[in-house]
Amino acid sequence: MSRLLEVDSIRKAFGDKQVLTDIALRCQPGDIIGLLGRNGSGKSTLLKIIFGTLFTDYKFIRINDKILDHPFKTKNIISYLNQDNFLPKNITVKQVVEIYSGKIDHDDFLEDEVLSKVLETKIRNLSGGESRYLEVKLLLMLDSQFVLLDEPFNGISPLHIEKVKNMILDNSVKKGIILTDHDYRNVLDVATKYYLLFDGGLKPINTKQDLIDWGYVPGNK
Amino acid sequence: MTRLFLPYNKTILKTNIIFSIVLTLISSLVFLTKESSHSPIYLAIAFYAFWIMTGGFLLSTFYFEISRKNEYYFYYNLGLSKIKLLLITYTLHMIFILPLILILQYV
Repeated sequence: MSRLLEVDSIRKAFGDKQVLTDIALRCQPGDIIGLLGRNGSGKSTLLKIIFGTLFTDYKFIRINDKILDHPFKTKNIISYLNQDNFLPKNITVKQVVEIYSGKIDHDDFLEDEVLSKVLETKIRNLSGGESRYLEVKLLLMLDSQFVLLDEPFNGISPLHIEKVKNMILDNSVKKGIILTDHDYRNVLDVATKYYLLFDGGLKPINTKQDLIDWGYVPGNK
Repeated sequence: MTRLFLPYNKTILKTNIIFSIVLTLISSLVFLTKESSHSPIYLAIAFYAFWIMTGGFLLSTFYFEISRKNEYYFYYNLGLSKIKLLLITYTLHMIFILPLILILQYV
């Protein structure tokens, strides 16, 4: 059985505004697909539709030869890092790890340089960066074959950004990863394929000049 | 398995208790002035049990929906849908109010 995530014919409109028009994408283990786009271009919308938590009239999602309407309901298939922090605020880091234990390597978390210092801290008392780091690590450690990361570098300090990049690269060997972030340099550093979401469609990006031509980055950068 | 639901259940239950106390006070003010064959304590407990399983639960889930919607992704990533989460939480609430219903038999 091939391990492949295929999405096709994804369309989504909010009122009169057509955000996504006939999106098609393929991702397999080893791929790190970088999704770039301006604010409101539909990046998060697309990831939520692929994950199965956002309804749309038109979509085709096939994972490992199975057509799925709500991929997140199928075990060990897909995980999704929400744009905003999603961990329950009333529990500690250790409790989060315990709840996910059985699905992740428990010891790897307890020995983590960043997390070992805050194990007894409640999620609400973590800094934005610590919280993001924990979320990214948690989702990458899950058994899921595909991971959708919406702004994984958001709020993380430069030193820990390198750790996150390494985690993404290490896990891409056995997982297919789609990520998006406003800091496009970080996306360009780790991704193996790039797309720009522009005017509702996905434009393949081959060189940095393409980003300039599409008006995503200014010409003098 | 149950521990997966505990953070959500705890949050919903906490807000539900507060909402249900308020709803019970309002109901008591309205109905306890009228003549009833039951004692005021019986009616207050009955109102409380009723609101925990109805209006209090609905208001709590609605409050969660508007204030902590992102947390649903914690459960989605474990393969739990919102409907499954709500059904399990509602069942846990039923277990929570069981002692209240037993108390009603003796009041």
